Amino acid sequence: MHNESESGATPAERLSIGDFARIFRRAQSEIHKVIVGHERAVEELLSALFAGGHVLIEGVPGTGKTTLVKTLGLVLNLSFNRIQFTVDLMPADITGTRVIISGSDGRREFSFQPGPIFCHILLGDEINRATPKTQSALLEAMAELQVTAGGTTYPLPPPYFVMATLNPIEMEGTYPLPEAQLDRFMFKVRLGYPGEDELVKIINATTGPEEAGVTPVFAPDEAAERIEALKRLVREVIVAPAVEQYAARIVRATQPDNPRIIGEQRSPVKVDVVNRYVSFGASPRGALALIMGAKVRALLDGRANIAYEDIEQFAPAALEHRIMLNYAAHSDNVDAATIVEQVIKAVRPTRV
Amino acid sequence: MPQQAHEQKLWLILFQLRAIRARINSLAAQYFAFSSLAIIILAATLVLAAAALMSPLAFLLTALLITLMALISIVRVTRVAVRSSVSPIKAASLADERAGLKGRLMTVLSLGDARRNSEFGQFLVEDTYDRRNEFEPIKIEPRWFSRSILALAGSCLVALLLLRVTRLAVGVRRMPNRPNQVIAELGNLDIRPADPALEPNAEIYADETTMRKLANKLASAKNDQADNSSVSHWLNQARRFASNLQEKLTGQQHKPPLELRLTDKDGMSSLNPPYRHPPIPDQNESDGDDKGVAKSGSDGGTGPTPSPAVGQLAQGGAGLSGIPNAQSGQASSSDVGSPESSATGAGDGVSHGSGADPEHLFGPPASQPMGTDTFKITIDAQPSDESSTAGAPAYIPPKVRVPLNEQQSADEPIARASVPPGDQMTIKRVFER
Repeated sequence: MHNESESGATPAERLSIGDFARIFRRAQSEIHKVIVGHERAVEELLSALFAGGHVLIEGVPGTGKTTLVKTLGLVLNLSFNRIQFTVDLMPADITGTRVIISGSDGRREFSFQPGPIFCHILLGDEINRATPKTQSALLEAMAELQVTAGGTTYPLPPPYFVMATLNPIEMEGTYPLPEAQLDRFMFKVRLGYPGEDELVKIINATTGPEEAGVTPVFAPDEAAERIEALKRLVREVIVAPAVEQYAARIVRATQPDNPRIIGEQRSPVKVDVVNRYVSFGASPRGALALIMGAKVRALLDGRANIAYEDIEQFAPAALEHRIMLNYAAHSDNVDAATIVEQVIKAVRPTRV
Repeated sequence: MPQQAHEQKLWLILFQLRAIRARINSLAAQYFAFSSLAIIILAATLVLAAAALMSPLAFLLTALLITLMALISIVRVTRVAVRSSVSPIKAASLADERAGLKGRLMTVLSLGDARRNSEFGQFLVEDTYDRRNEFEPIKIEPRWFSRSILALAGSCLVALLLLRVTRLAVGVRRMPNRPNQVIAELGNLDIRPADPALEPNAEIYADETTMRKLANKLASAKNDQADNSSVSHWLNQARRFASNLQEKLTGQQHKPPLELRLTDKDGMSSLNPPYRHPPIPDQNESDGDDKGVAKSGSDGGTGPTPSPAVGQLAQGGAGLSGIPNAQSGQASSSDVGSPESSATGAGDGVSHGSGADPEHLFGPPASQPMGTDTFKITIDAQPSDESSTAGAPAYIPPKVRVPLNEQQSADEPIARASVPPGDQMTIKRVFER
């Protein structure tokens, strides 16, 4: 087991597949000291972190979205910021701005004051309450790990992990995230209401005299480095060409037959519901998300290679938010989860 | 040294994969061979059974259907066999799935040289090698023989049973046949050939209704022959082809279909008979206006007696326009011969049948043995036994020609002779009885 007390040699040199699984499981168990249930959501959250992606968390109020993200920051012992998105929030409020500062010698000069975006883990709470202009302030940071303000580009310290929460109800006065913004999130994690037993556990854990505490997995000074090493380990996982083709085929199958969008090269697998209900299918980032998520899953399973099952396990989280449904889908009450399910069913027989 | 061990393990994994692939592809090949053979055996047996049991046209249709189905089945079997055969990567994928190896073999197989020697590559090879017991060929594919061998065995069994049943069925059908008797089935016409060893252009005898039907049939046949594109023409062609095929398959010789034509002693030029009876120097010949049977009938007491049926047929006309004067009344009033000759076929007063008027039994003796030139009928039909169902192939009795002794006479119409008055009553009584 590796924790802060085991620091010494370069973490990347010491880490192995077994280490990855141990660290992952430990972080998971620490989070579950605070978060009751939501095992799949926690696994997807950590997977996205180690795969180098960002996560969009969707859930009704009171399901522990913010608590989950806060707990993750504590467990990983990384710098953590929280932005409550509101309609009057401006991009500069997120990225930071240049302000005039008086020096000790009385001189005044412009100085860049970093915004809350400068951290390792950023929680964008209710991101759909901000205007698209403000939402877009996150784009550069999420994709390129840098922020440009006042003509100057400032790099963000790795690891950088954005978790944004969405409230699917109370839609008045909200701004749905633009597709380009949505595509930046590797996974969309859904948090549902807890079951009865889980609710009892939550009551016991939160209404007693003692609050549940978590133990950080990493020491503060080495957390970033170790997480980066784990991310590199994930990228080492070997992918067979057939599995890569399977992921690509799934993504292509989510795209409706529309030559203006997908070009003349059509998907070898046709799915009726896709052509009927989908306006835009998953982007290539969807395929990357599938593969990266599968790599994490393979390491957790103690494998150096990914399997078809790994791809399928992450398909809902990686693809649902990338599929734009049309009015017919809303009319027929068809959701993206159904589309992804049908796509996997259609593509599965074409495995090698 | 560790590198060599790594390569050795990798080689062993790949060797095991090749064995798995060989086994799966062997099963696919077996499936193709056994299934195809089973289909061919079954189809051939069915065709043989159809050849033995069915009429030519029904056999032809059945054989075509069976052949078509067999071809389709073989194509499908081939497709399944091709799909069942596996490439190396497919074999690895299959082994992964059956052994629960989660893509390890497939990934090992697709490792490039660079990746093979990487840390994760080595880990993967080691990990897979440690699980080599899980993907032994016998565990991935335990069968040595394809289950399709059961289909082949079943097919052979069914074929044997079918052949046995067919043989029995054919034997049962032969039993009711009486020796030296063949019944020619001509649709709904009840016609019996005079000679069991029915040859083309044989003579048959029938009542007037039958004769009329024959005339209609011949007229229809003539029309069909004139129109080469008609359905019946092609049906006849198909029937001949199927009959030949049946003969080849069953080894039974079928007689060629008999052609049926109505003719009179002058040849019935309108019907163009293939066979003409030798002209009989008869009084009928003297009546130059009359032709055929009608003419014979009009000769009264001097010539052969036309049957009433013949007279009716002549009036009915189809194909017999050359005998317009044949009147039944004339025949009955003038003929001294047997009026029932229509049933027996001897139109020259020779009595063979029953139901004739005994008053006409006797007449002046004929100058010479009588011929059967009232009608010469060529049968256009397949000979068949009585018990056969419609369209079934006929049992052909063997031709037996036994030399007659001195006390026997040839089976031909007996010339009318003078009967002593004292015997006439006796003959009449016997006849009436």
